[in-house]
Amino acid sequence: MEYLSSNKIAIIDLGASKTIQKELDEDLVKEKIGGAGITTALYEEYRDEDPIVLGTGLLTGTLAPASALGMVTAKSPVTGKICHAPFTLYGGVELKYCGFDYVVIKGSSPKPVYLWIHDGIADVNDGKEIWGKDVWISTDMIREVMGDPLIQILAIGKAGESESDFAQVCINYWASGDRWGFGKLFGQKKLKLVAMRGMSLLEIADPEGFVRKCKEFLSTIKSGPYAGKGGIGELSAAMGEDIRQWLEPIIHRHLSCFNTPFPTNTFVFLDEDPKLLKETEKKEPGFLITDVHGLLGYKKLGLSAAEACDLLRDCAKYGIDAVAVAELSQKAGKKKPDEIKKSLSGLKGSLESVGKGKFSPWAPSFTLSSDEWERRQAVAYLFGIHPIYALMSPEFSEEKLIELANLGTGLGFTSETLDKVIIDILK
Amino acid sequence: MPSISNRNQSSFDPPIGIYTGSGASHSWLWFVEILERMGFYNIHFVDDRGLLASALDSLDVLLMSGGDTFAIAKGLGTEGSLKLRHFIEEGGLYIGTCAGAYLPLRSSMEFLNQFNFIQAKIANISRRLSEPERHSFQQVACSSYGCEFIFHVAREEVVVEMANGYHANGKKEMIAPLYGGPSIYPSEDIESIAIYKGFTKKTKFLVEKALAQKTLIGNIAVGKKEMGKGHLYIFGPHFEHPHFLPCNLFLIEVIRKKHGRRHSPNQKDVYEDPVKEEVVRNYIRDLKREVSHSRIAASGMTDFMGSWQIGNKYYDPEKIQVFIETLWKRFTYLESGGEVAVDLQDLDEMIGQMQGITDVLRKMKKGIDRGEATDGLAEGLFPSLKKVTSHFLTVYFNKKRLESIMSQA
Repeated sequence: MEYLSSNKIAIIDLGASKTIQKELDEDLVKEKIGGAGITTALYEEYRDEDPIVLGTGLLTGTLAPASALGMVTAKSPVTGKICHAPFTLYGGVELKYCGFDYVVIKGSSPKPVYLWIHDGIADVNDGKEIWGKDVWISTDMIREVMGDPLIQILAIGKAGESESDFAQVCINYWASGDRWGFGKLFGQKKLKLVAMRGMSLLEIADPEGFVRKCKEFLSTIKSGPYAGKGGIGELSAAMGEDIRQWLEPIIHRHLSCFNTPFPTNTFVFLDEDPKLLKETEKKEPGFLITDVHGLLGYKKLGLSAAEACDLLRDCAKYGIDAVAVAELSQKAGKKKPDEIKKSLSGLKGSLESVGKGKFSPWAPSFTLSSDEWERRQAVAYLFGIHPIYALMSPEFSEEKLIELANLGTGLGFTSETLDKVIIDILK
Repeated sequence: MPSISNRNQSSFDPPIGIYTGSGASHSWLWFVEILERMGFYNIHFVDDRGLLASALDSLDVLLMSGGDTFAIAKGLGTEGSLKLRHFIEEGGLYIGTCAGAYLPLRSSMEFLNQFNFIQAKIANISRRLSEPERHSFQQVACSSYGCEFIFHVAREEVVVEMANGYHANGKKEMIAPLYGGPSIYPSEDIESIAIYKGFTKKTKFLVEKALAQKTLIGNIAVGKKEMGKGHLYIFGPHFEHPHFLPCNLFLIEVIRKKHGRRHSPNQKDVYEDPVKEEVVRNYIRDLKREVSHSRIAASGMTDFMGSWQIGNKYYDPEKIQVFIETLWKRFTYLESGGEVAVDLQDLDEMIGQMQGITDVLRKMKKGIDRGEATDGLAEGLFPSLKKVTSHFLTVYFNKKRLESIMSQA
């Protein structure tokens, strides 16, 4: 595969601690487009070896608006189905540029390990120093050891190590869209984290045409209904559960994922004055809210915004899905932050807010029907578009994405190709 | 960036040495870039120890780029100056740019006074200044030169005009990059090839324009001297900078006009015992891993706004990346298969050197984050980078030469 691709797939056998590389077959791309189309195909190919597949969409890491998406595809311990969990911020783009389009992690390691994927090399490294550490400390340790704060990390905390059903694979310090318990799979494989860094380049079939179209589409999107808005509060308002006033006192700033026109994340200050403009003296004074559902769950328990965000922070450090914690706390009648914190270890129960399909319910449904939501998610996961932003910008249509994919690869995708792939991955 | 390429010239491939020893900064890598683009693969890397041994004996051309002139002179010493003189007088071609141009100019300073091959005077030395002008210089615009100092009036682009019937591809003028190189007063001891003519919009003046004009305009930017059977060419501006195509072409023309000195390159080493591809591929992969680690650690320092003073030169984090990227972009070719004539022990040594470099870079990053001084670490780092880069490029050009020779056969 020549364009928009590193042309490499890493197959990592944790049991044997070995990595092999395969070329990404252009025919596979023609048939499956990319992203969830290919992670699903790779999952099926290695199904007998209980794989976790990491991947990026066809347009991830390009100038295409909101091309921030990376994904984990595996069998969910929560639903028993093959599902896709998103990771955004700069995780998707880092995977794209670290030299592999897809990474298949198969087998289990007898001892704690971590994967270090960099510049087209995938190493299985000893993880004993970080096993037992929380997500934040693990992230800090790897970045310090490797000497680069830009390393992107998919990590589990103690929830994953203890194989909790609600364990989440976090992105750096923060919650991801993993609502499938993939953290448990990491733990079962003794895989503490995947660290990614790379500075490779992507070739584009028609670079001038591609850049021109990206700019054109971006200007269309920027005049959409969300222009000039941003943050978790706006998302909640669009979902009909407006928390803007409740959250406002602790907001420090909003943060976008890679090349995403709408900031879907909000940073709150918990240990510093949120109005502080100068550099804070605290190493980490707050928390980046990346999942609106977790926040809403704690609000429903009657907590203040600061209490809710403090709990979100604890969940991220522990590597557990905050939505599950909120729902199970509600059921158990736990409404005090300390009580909830104590319950993280050994949390059990069954959830009602489990995703029903293939794609994480992390992306809100807004006002879409479930069929519309699912199709739009499928499109986002194939092309590598931020799943929340994809729902917010219907003007960034399927036709436009196909047009960009064709300019980028020269492969001649059609709407028929897209329809067929979507049917395949929704099976 | 314009590109230059002339693969048809590869049949003429004289042995060219690039000086990488004490005092050399990173600009010798620019010579590597333009020589490779022009199809010169018979490239050898010479440090001060090599030069003091017998490295010059097998070369037709020696290229000496920028850096710390005093450190170069000190590293080579009297013995080095004699070796260099002998090399040129026996028909060798010496091309010096910037620090490499200062080196053979007349000086009374210790070490430098061993290299008084050209009796022309430097125009940008503080004794030429009035007292108020001497005080007008900031530290960035001068470097110590005994009881005097060398001052720099402009950086980035300058216009040079060819003199004495010389031309560059039919043109009389060209734009050249100046980064502290000398301005030389006309002298009977040196033939003027190009003079400083003027400035461009991109010229960065370090002093008032009038003083810059007085110091540069009309003085020699490029000069030539015959010594015995050989020649010295000295360039104030960095004609080897890969972004300045006309300058590159002129410089390459100087090399092309050089006839073989005494011998053909010894290619025996290229043919000896090509190691099996698979084994070499594994070693190269291990080396690539370590270069990637260094690359990542170096990128972690890009926010560091400071620099390190080593000798008389300042080094910033970007220079580390210049070395590492020089290696990095050549891996694809090395990984492409085919025979590589290399001693596995050399590869092993390179891997060890790269691990050492990564360790130092990570310590530097930690030190910077904690607000600690890292000059000592930087002082050890750059010689290591030069060493491993020269080793790597030797392997790389051996493979290129071998392929070139085989394709011609």
